[in-house]
Amino acid sequence: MFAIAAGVAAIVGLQSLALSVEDTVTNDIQTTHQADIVVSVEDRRGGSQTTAGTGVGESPAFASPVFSEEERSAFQELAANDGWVDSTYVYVANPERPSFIAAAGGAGTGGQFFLQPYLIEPGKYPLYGEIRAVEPKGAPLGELLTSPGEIALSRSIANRVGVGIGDSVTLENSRAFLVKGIVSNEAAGSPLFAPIFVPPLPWFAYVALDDPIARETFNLDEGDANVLFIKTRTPADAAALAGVERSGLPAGESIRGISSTFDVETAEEALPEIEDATDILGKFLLIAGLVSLVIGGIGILNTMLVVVGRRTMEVGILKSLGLKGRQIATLFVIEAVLMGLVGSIAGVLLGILLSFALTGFGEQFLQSNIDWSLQTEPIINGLVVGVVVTVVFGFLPVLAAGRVRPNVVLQAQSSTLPRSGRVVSLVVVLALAAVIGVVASVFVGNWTIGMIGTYGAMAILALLSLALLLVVWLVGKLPTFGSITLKLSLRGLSRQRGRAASTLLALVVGLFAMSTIVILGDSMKQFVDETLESELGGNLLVILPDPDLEIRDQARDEIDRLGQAERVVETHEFENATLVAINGAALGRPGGDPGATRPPGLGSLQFASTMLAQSDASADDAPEMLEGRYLVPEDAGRAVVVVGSDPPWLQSPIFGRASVGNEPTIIGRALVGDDLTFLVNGQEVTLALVGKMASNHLHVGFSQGHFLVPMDAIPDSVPRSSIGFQVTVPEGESAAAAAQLNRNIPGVVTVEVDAIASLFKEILDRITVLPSVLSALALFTGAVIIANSVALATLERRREIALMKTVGAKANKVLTMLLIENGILGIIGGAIGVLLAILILVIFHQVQPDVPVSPNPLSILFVLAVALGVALGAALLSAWPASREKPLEVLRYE
Amino acid sequence: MASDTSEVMLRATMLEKHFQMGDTVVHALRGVDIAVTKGEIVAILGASGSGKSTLLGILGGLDAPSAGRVEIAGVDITKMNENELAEIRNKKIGFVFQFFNLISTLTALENVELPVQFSTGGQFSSRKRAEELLALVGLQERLRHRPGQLSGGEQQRVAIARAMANAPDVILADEPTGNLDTATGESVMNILFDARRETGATLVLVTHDAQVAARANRTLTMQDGLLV
Ligand SMILES: Nc1ncnc2c1ncn2[C@@H]1O[C@H](COP(=O)(O)OP(=O)(O)O)[C@@H](O)[C@H]1O
Ligand SMILES: [Mg+2]
Repeated sequence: MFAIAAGVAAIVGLQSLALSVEDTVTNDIQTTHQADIVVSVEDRRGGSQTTAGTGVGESPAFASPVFSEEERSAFQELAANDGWVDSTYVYVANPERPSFIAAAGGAGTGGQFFLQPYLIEPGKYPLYGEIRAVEPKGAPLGELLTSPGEIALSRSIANRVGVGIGDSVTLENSRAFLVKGIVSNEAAGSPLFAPIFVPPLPWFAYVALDDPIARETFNLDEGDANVLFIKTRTPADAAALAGVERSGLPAGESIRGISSTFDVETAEEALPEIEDATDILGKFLLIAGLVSLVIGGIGILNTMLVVVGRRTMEVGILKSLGLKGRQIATLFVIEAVLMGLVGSIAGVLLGILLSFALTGFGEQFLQSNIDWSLQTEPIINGLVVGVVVTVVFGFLPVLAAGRVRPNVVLQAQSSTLPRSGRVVSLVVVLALAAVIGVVASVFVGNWTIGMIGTYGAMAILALLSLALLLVVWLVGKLPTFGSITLKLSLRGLSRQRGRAASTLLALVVGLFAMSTIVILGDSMKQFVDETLESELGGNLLVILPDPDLEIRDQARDEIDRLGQAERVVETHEFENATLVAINGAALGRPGGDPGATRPPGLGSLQFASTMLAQSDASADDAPEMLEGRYLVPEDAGRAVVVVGSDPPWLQSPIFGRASVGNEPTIIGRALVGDDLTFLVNGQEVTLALVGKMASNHLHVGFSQGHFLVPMDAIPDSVPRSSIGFQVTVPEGESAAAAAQLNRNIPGVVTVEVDAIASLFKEILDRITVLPSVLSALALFTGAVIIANSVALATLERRREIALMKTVGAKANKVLTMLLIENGILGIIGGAIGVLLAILILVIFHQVQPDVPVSPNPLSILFVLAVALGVALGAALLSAWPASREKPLEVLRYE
Repeated sequence: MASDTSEVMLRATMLEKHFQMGDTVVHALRGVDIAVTKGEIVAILGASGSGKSTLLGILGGLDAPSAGRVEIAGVDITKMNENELAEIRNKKIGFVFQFFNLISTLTALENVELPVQFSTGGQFSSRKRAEELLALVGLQERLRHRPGQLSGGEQQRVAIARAMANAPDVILADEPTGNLDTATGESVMNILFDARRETGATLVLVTHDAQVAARANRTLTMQDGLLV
């Protein structure tokens, strides 16, 4: 009964949550979208367009495009329209590179941390809903940000930086701001800023758009903004206005000389995307519900088998009284229906509680509020599924019950279940699959997927069960080392092989889910750690606000002055490097150059990629090379280049054939020793190819590129896209060194690599919240099943326990026996679950190499410990009372 | 300890046992006094439901009385905790039941070995002892058989061997032949008496069979929870 209730509860709980999420998001689309229309500037600087020589003194490469004055006045005109109710401008700072925050004036931890700043109009933003501070409690943004130099931080970043209200912080290591308020991490939860499946950065801050100090920090002129939220009277108004904006506004030059087109989106248009996202979430939750159902179903099967087994005698008596098999079967079906009903109703109640509890986790995951409400659909689903599955699962043993011959009554003691014919069993199982398939199809809303999925799942489960049966059989054959307790445990297991196997199955499914999540999460964290360590090759990252060589020199001096840097690597990034000629033979024209050294047409393919110039290349970091060599220190100042192998999309047959015949790509055709001519940020540079690397991309620090050259290979006259340093200082010195650099070179941000890692981990933790909760749930359901089946097993073995006590076994011995028995199940279930998870992940890794798989032995141990704990806990719960029973109580029932 | 108690192996005084069945209380034992001397064979007769099984169970420490006390070899077992009782059942008492009550997953040999293996600081090698006892009850050919593969009489013989495993002072047999046909019952009873003679154990036996009762030193009758 408990097993049914648990399964139904999982379904109701998860489904309610999914529906609540969907409802919340779609009903309140404006709040989620923050407006009826969102107009945002899109950066359309293409590869061919160079930002060099715009003559604007203030480093155009990094300034984000903003609305032009024409655009803003056009918006102004539109605002006169009837449908236009309200609007507010926002500047989402630096979408292309991170911003940084640090505590100032001695407060806090002193480190620099990433930050996503939002420059808003405090009295007006947001148009829908409101953002109230958690500290001071309930204060609206409009009351917090009233004078220049004030800032409101998210809870998470305030904690991280170690500041509170009244402390001051610096942004971009330049201007100081006074912390006036702290808002919850959920405040920025908008799909505009982050798609639903990537939780928004929990490290963000609000400052006022008209704050001159903020504008100075972010290089903005008065009125600059890159997002406009518009509130309209009706959705129709929104559509009409959006239409006008799309067609009628000048997509002119912005004040920065960067062509800014903009993107207009109405809330209604955003709806499908959001629905898609919640749909995925819903499916995910649904699958979890179905898995719980399967586990629940196994538990129900177990229960029914034991119920019938224990009733064999009763059935025999009924039969000898003249009841027909059919009538007895009916009796049991009625019992099953009753059990299903009561169990399901209990499950529904539990599920409602569960969904209420899960809502909290869901909110944390989505970073937005979920309106929890009682939904009828999941309740009906849960009830129907619970009853149907109980009856269906109940049917199998019923069939056997009908075949009990009355003479078993005379053969006392035998309470074994007669085997129903194999064919009949098979038919029942298939019919059962059909019924579950129907349920699943209704659930998923797709017949093909539902049926195929169900049969597939059944097949997999059947195979798994067979394998587990084999495992149980093997376990029964284990040596007992003369220990009677162990012997009895193993005999106990192998006596009820079917049930041991199905308990194992429940455990395996639960632990599989759990270990998949744990291993994935682990691998991600390890991946982040390793990536940061290997790619950053240092413990400090010095980031220049602008790729300015003068500031670079200043930074070099300051790093020198530290006196403790063990290694300094300087990296220059050139975002637009296009290969234009090989050995002087120009590329880019179809048919190629007639005088080209490599006649079969060098093709017309050109692609712009990022080139990196690095100051220090050592054999230590040399990656795997396909050909030639990696850069060496002696290359400094020489005109040489190494390339990454072509990205896979370029190697694809379609792409390759379309462009350069049978040969893969242009880079594939260049040989070591060839002279490659690049157009780098608008200037031609010729470099000798010395090596080809095996990987697609070069990772140098945080930068990714396709070409790597030594420092000074590119003349100073070529504009850099960004400049940074990776500095290695002795362990333990990094905080002080970072503080010193930050103090001495204002505007240049020095971050400790640890801070970056902690951000990644925080994000990762958020991503894994929901799956973890779900797998915990699956495990919980598994635990319930185990407790249930242990309870049943103990019930069945009450006589055996009483007998053991009669001949002198102490209660603890009996308990030990039961614990060993279930401990074995726990360990085996855990091990198989973990192995399956690893197997699946490794296979997945083959298909999708981006997904790292590196199980941590510690967490595997943890999962195994959980499995053992669950099994032992469940066993203890039901075996404890049984082991304390007075033997006579049991034995007198002859 | 007084000399007269030393030869009393089993003594119960003013034993009462009540069962709460919903609103009504069943008085299964209403103040039973019994003393069985060392090596004595006592047969208990009585109608079904008169309290025989309840008495035997309490004498053997399988259940606790509602009132009164039970002494085995002069030691009061009514004050003992479960572990001490288990020890007593293991070393001092052997039970034989009407329905054999063997552990179905274990072989005949293993069933007989069980009490020896549960005994702490036991005097026997379990394997050898079990083989001897099974030979004694004539089952030397059946060591590896499971209870399901044995006939009723054979099962009861295994049960007798099991009861003798730790050479107990007292054997308590509750209708040991009640579930067997007359001929088999007789041979099983012979084996029980033979085995008892071997160890000189005290035997308390519940039976409906006057012939069996005649073989006892003393016959008692149970009526409505009292020995008369
Ligand atoms: N655990 C119990 N719960 C309730 N009643 C019991 C219990 N054990 C025995 N009785 C009752 O006590 C009485 C004596 O039972 P029992 O000792 O088994 O009789 P006998 O063995 O002489 O046939 C009966 O009326 C029986 O129903
Ligand atoms: Mg009786």
